[in-house]
Amino acid sequence: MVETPVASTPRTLADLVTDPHQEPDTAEVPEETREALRDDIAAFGAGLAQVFSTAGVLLALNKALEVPLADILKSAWSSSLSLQAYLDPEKHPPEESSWVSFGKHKLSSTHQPKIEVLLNGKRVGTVSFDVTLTLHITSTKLLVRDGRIWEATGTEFRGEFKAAYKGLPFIKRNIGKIKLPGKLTFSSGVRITKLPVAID
Amino acid sequence: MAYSEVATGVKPQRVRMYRCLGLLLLWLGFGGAAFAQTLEIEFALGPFEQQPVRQAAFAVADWQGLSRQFGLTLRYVVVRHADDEDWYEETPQAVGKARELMASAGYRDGLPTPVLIFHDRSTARLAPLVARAFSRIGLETSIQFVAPQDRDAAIARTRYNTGRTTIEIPYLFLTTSRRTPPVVELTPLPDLIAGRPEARFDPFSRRLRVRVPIENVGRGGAPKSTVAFLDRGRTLRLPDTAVPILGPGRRTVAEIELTVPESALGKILQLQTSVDPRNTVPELNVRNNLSEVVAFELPAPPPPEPERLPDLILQWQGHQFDPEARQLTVRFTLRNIGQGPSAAQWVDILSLTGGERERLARLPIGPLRAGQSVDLVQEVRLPSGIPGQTLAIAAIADVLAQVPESNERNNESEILEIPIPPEQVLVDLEVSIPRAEVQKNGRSVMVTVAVVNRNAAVSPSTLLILRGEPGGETAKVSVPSLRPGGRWTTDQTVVPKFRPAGGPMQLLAAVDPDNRVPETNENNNQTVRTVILPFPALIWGAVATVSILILSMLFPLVRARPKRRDPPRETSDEGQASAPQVLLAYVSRPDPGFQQIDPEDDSGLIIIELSLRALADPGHQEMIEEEV
Repeated sequence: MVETPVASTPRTLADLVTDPHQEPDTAEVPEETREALRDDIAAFGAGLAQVFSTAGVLLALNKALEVPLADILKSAWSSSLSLQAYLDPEKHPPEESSWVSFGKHKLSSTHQPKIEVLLNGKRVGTVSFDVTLTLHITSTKLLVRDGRIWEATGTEFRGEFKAAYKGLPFIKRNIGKIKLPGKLTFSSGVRITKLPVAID
Repeated sequence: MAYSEVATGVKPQRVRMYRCLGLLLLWLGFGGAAFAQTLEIEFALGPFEQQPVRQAAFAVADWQGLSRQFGLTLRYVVVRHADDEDWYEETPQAVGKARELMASAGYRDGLPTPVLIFHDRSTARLAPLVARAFSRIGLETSIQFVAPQDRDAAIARTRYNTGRTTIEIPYLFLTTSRRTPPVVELTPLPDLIAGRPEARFDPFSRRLRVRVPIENVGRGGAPKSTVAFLDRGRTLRLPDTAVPILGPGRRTVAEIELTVPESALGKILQLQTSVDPRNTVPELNVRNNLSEVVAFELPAPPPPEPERLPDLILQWQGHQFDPEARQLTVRFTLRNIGQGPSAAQWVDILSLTGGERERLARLPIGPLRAGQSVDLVQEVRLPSGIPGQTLAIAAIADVLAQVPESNERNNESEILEIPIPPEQVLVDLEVSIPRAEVQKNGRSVMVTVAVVNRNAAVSPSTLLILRGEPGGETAKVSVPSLRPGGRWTTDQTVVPKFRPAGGPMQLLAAVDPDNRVPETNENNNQTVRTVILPFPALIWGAVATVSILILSMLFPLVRARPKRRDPPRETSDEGQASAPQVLLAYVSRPDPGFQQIDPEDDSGLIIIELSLRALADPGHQEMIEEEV
């Protein structure tokens, strides 16, 4: 898959959440969550509590959120109900190309990024986070052919980001309106998933 | 009929008076007789020389009756043959007797020659009538008038001498006269009378004995004769018995004995006897040969000892129906309520549903004593078309009527009505994994699961679970209701756990995991498919690359700054990390593990490197279309 990067545009989930050129703001992490995190890391080894750093965790988490935004979008679009009709070769022959306009739709992406704690390269423990990304996509157009999505353009959205640690809120972000410029091209196409509605 | 007469003695003077009176009386009597007509019949020659023939010819006609037809009143009829004369006062016709006499004489079909009937003027009109009467016994006749003076000549012509033989033509001469029966010499005659019959009956042997006294009250001896025993009520046919010679004044007892048939028991006999019923004995009086009628009641037979017979009845005790096995079991009791034992017999269980009788089962039953009962349990096959209807059944004892019973009308039980539920049609859900495609270099597997309803009933909605490996995440999908033969598929993505070396992974799909749907086959609700995950080369390559980078970064740092004695950093949230991925720090208490000691460092401190490694997760996405 070759992705065409868009200038000043978010490429990954981390780009939606943080600015890589700025220091992570540790003040927004609730104290309770920090304490819990510290206690868990301290349990991995003696003395680790003294070197625990919330900023370091934020940086590592940011690394763990480097999930391509295109992957998130195409995974959601591939299971769209509106595209099910394009799986019928009688209605849409393989050689037919169709631009499908989507109206408003909501995308929910859940992740469980993990951070491994290494001492001298040896993993002593893992902390796991629960991340939820909600995008309210106002419009997009998809090029569909032969049961696959080949291009996406005019994608515009806003949303919100939430990360939690063991149910405790970690960080929360509101994502302002973003319009992806240009188009996303999927060289091998994204296969439209057949949803479980077939009854003979 | 012969006559007898009585002579009395008389004195001279008075005798004359009496003689005159007597003569007068005699004259009046005989004078009266002188005006009476007497028919004289003379039989002669040929077969008429035989007495039976003459008797037959005389008995075939009512001579007096025939004569009265033309106004001739006959008082007497005398039959002459040779020197014999038989006088008759009555001439009843007896054609049957005449035929018997002719047959006994050998002339059943009549005489070989015609018979001449000679007559005079007085019998001219009688002769044709006689000829007609003779024809009844096969006698051909020829009537010829003969004047009195020609009598001898006529008789002479009845013989023909052919030189070799003499042909005789039988004839009879009919004439009338005023002759009266001659006074015959008094001959004492017997007179047999029968007394009152007596009967005795033995009910055990059913032997009846009837006795009657016979007495000869006449002055002549009676030859052997017979006495006939009669039942005027026609219940019994009694035999005759012989009566021996009885002298005058003698008596005897005639007796018979016979076995009375059972059918005659209880009836009343009207017994009467008749001595000399065939009148073979010339008697002074034949009108006293019959006895009086005596009624005798035969006792009724004793009531038969009631035969001890069995009496079989059936009573239902209950029934059970197994809906899964579609099996009906009935219980009933067979009792012998009779007085006698019952032999072995058969019991049938019948279906009476729809007005038709259909045998469902037949049981052999052994002998039963009087009062004995037997409890029976029988599995009964269901007739076709019964499920969903009410089955009406009955049981019949001794169905083949092999056992005689005191009551044959109570062998059938009451009708038992059993509702039979309709057959339950179950579903059969079969699950399969027709396709499993490894994607993203082993990081996910696209699985297609199919569920088919293979039975004849509509399946309810149920649940499908899909699991990647034991202990892996379980996907739960709702399976909709499927018609018979219906097929439903779903595509699911299974994310396997990280396997350092790849390898096989089992996919488990199960429909109706909680077994809430009753099926004919529960064994096809699960299926397992194994997929081979590739070796995660990319991941290990990345790990190796990272490790090399880290190691290359670590070693220069440790060697380049051996004397750095930065104080232990205090924990602070003010953002201390200078590099985004790696933090360096000193710990006072080393942790077991990989440790590196700088030989050039005399502080005794052990440098431990703490680092954090991020693991991204592609996550799970869902899209909800808010506008179409």
